[in-house]
Amino acid sequence: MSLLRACVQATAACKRAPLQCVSTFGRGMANDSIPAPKKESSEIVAPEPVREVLVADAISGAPSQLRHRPVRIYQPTRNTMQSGPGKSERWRLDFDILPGGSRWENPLMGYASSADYMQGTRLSFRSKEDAIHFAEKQGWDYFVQPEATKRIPPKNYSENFVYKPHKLRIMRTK
Amino acid sequence: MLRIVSSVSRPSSTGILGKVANTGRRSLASSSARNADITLTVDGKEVTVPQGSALIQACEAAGATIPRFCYHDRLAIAGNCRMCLVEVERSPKPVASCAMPAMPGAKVFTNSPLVHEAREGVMEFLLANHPLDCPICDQGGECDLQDQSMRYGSDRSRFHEITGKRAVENKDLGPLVKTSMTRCIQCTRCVRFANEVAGVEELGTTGRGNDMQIGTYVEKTMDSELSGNIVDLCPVGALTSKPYAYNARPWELKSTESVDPLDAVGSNIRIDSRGVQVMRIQPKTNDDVNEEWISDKTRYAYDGLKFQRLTTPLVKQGDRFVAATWEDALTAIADGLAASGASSNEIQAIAGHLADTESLVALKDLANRLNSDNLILDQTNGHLPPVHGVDVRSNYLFNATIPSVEEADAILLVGTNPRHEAAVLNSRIRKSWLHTPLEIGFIGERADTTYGYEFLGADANALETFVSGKVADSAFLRKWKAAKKPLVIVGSAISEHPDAAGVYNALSKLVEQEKSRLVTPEWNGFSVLQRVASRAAAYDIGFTPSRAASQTKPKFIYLLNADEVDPKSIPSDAFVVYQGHHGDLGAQLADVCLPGSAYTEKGTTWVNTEGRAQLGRAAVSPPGASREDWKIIRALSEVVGAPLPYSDALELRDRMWEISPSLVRYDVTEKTSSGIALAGINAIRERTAGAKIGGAAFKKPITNFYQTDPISRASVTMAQCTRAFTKGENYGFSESSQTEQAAFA
Amino acid sequence: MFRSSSATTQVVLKASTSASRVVRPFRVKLRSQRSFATVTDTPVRRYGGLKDQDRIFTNAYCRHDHGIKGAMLRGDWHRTKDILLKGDSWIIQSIKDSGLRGRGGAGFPSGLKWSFMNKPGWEKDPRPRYLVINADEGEPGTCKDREILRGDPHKLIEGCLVAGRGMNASAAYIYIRGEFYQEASHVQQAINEAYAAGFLGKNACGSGYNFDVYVHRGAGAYICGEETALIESIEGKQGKPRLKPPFPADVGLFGCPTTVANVETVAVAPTICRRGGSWFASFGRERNQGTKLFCISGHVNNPCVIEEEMSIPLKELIEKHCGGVVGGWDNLLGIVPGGSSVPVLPINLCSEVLMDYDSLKDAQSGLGTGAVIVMNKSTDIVSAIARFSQFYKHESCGQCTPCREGTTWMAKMMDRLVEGRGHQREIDMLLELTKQVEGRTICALGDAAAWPIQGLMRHFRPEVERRIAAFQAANGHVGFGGHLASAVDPSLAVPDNLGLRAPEPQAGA
Repeated sequence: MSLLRACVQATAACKRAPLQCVSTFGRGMANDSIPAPKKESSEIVAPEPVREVLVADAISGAPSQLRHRPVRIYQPTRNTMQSGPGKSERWRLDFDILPGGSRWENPLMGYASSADYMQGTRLSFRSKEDAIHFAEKQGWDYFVQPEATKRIPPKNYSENFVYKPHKLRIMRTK
Repeated sequence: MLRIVSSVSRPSSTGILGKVANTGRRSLASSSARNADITLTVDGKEVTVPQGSALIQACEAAGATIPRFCYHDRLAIAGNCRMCLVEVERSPKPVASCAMPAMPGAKVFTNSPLVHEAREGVMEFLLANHPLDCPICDQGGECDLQDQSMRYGSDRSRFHEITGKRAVENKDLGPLVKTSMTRCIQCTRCVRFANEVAGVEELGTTGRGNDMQIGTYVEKTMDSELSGNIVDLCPVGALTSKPYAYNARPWELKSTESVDPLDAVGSNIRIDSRGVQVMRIQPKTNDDVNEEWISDKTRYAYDGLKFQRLTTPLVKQGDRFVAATWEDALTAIADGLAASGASSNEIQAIAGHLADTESLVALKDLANRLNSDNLILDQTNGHLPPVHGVDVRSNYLFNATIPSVEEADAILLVGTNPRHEAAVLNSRIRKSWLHTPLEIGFIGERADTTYGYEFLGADANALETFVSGKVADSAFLRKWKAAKKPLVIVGSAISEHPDAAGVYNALSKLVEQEKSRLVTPEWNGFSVLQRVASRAAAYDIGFTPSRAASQTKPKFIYLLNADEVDPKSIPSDAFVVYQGHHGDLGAQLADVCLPGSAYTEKGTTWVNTEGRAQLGRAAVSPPGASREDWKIIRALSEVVGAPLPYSDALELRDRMWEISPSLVRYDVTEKTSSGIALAGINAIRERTAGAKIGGAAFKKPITNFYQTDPISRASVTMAQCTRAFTKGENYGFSESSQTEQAAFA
Repeated sequence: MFRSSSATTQVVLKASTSASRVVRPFRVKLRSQRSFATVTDTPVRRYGGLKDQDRIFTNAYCRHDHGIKGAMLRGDWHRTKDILLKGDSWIIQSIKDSGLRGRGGAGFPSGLKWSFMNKPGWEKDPRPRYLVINADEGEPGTCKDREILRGDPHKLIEGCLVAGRGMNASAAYIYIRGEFYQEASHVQQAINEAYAAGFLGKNACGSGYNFDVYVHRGAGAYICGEETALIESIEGKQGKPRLKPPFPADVGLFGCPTTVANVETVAVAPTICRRGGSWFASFGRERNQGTKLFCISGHVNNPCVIEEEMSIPLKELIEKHCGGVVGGWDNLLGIVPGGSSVPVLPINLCSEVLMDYDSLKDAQSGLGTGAVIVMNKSTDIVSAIARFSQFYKHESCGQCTPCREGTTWMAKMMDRLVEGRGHQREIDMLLELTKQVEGRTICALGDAAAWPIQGLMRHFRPEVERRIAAFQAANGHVGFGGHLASAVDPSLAVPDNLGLRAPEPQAGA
């Protein structure tokens, strides 16, 4: 099964059943420089119509090397140091770092220098689809990390004190 | 359990706990549905939450932000900070929303003048005795008190007493947690965490009123594998990270969400880096794996990434290593391979603890292309085919899955101490043990597990006796017999034990006896707890020797992150290549060292003990000339003339999909159907039929939790922990408190 | 049992004339009030002057045998079996009829409270059920329970049995303050005697009802007198209050349905059941019926604990039983009518109020535990209230923020105001602080710490202002927090909110 197909299917699956969202790889839609996806196996259901996405770098003049930089689309989790869930609602898109020495410490001041002009680029989107669409439009390889399902049981103060018929297991709260 | 439904594109923060009905619809059905859900109004918005929820959860579900200090989603409710006061209609006083159950039909106001005034008042009191040392406080920038005082507090202080503020002596909690107790606001989150999750009952409050202090009642370090989490929990800077002290500010850090490979739980982490350095590691919340906790090793071993690194290829000349270029090193390997005369199974590949899945796949493909099946694991008896086989996934995975541990009503631990092998999982067992009538039986070397257990014996014979049912009646046995969801947790050390076959035979008999309860379509209670990050992936891709290969004497050995090998097992004439990131044991044995990258430097797949594949992410670039591991193997394959058919990560993952789709189905566990699981167990029983039991006692595989792998062995912090906790020595920080000078400091 | 109101008047008159022989000013005032014209009015019922035969606690002073023999002579354990056999609803109905309100301070109707234990379907609840007796009497000025425990322990034990039967409890815990050693001994002795006589234990009093009583001794923390803190303390945890809900009637001691009741409340229950709710209800005003132990301390000639009818005028209580205020009624400065946690009343209110829940509430104070603290003009009232603040600072459990920080802050400010070291504006700030504490805390200790200060400022604010003015006259301007303007280096940049340049508002303005 080709990655492209996997990606298309997974995003389609996401739309159908938001609970069952799995992570997906995506290849940017720009087909000019990237080898064509391999033939998918026959058991895969009828292919969805390929969305017509105009790759922006033809117009924007972004260097084509960017197409080979994978980006990741994810929802940043809450900072565990703090209670506030701020900034965890939006979807973020950023680039994987360049392996091999794109960063070094400036010998004079010890500041971190970088040869990677995309290392500070973080794009924020209201939804995953927006982010995917943007990545596709730019022709970027992307990986979508599904959002974490948060499961907090209903909490009750009286839980601390309720009578339990089994053996007493003391939990101090003070 | 609540499952939070998150639709694909969610406009605002309204979907956290419940559903919000913006229309004024108040259906009559809400009262009839077995009281499962209740509806109330928060700030004019109707919200439906499950019965028994706290009011603060209902408010959150309605999208109203409630400030809080003491309330935490994963801890017991204390209700003592009073910051979450809200106004409830027909209640004369503001109520603490964390401790108040949500009542059907209640009208709650979170934004009224009374609430504002109450919050401001509480804030003023909290700040009255809080020092104004934010500039030198490590919490600065990610401090709840700071943020909430800006948001909810008054704009100026009225506390000018000439008697000054309260000052509290700092406590010594060990080499990980730094305390500044003057900053404490007595929210008791740390106390509740220590008692409820970590199982450290020494942490508590002493004194009363304004003299109340958090501390261990007698001077004592906090001996827990999870103690670092109290740093996260502390809403102020009272508990901060000692290794991280004064190192960085949160706004300088670039955070990268990744996966931790230092144990097999696959805890989700957030790597905070600055420049080329990993500054700290924080947990990333994932309710399926680690909730919100990570172990201290996960959190604090990162300083090991700075020491003892291999940064350049090394070729042994005589008895010393000489730095080489990649070309030279790879050529040296090709030459060495040719010179050793190794062919087919004489080429041995050893997969170490920290090998990622991609490089395992590449190495296996390479070995196979060189006609070798001699793929062995870096463990005792790793050169033999595993006794449980690798044909059926459920034979070596934690089938019950980590979150479902809490559903088990009787747990039998066989040859494992989860506290050290999977500290985060252990906290779930403790949680379940505290809150449910769970009973635990234990076969193996006695250990302090943070929960009570019934000791059934220390060796395979004890298991045999248990399976045959000839044990004395006890609370555990009664519970086990009546259990609806019994769970057997088999340690990974069992397959390394001389009696492995006998133990697995007994276990398979046990499963057969209890299959109506142990292996059902809904529940698979036969769970193997791996302790090494690479192990499940290695089994998944079949990184195991064939029977013929295990008899062969190797001439060429490729150590992939293998640092636990017994040097005696390596023939002196063999050509040894070590690929890894630390100059640990494996590198010493090598003829050529190839510098790989550590887990913070590569975006690779990790398969945890449940078989859950998770994709890590590189946070910093590998130091020096080191490279991503699979790329090294790919490059080597060209040099040795057996090029691998993939040249980028996506193609490699296509290959992984071919081997096993579960390797690239990220973040989910795939259940083995009960029929196949039983067939796998049957296969074990047939394979091990008639196995003899020697009766050697099970040994704890981990004697020092803090140093289990090259990274943690290179870590200064972990060395201090070893001294403080494992050896119980004074670890060097509290010495000053014994000198007379300390009185003036 | 209803007495005619004229008879009451006569009794009161007789009592007052006898009192008038001692205290002159009272007689003068009485004459001026009682002109002949009042005779034609509808007779006003006067309260007070409880007759000896109506006293419940006949051995409050421990002058007689506190053991079972003496207790039975005084009527305890008399036909207790018959009371028990009447059943729970009869007992609770009797208590409801009697109008008994909780004697521990809050004054919640006891019958109603006890009936919470018998919710529909309580029989199906497998959990045990407990009655907990709060004998952790720590409120400054209060010493009524102590007398009961010492002199009439059998009344309490019998009360436990009767009240326990009423709420179908399986056991009672008596939580006795740690300092009450002799009292705990007497209670334990009484329990042992009652067990020996078959009044407790299996088949208590032969009624077929099983009931146990245990003594639990506290360690002397005031906060353990709060009902949920007391429960925690019995459970072996730190005595820190729980939030409500869950109410103890749902989740109480060891997670089981529990009712916490004051010693006096429980100890009067058998007598109420024996003599009838209407007898008890015949004392005192509507909604404040019954008799009550009052503890009068401070500047009175004869401090005492006395059982009196509810709604007795405060002045009469003092004049009649305590021999009047030291130096005469006109020498009175103020009275704290219900223990340290209620606001102080100045003399003009003291001569009007009746000692019951509603009258004192109307006077913006409270009956509390009925501990009357009398202060004459030799008292430094600011210092007295500052001492209360110190007490609450010391006894705050430290669990919740407003109380932990607020009590300390208030105590610090009160300490300064004793000598007047402060800024006039700080009085209002202090009042604001009390408002920030009041009603924001887990338990009522925060309220209790706030009220005395509010009472002080309500009635004695000019005194505080005078002290501030005097201190400033002697020491120069004082900023907020007690910083002397003279001690601040003027060459430094001093924050404006320190009040060093804030003008003093005109005193009394």
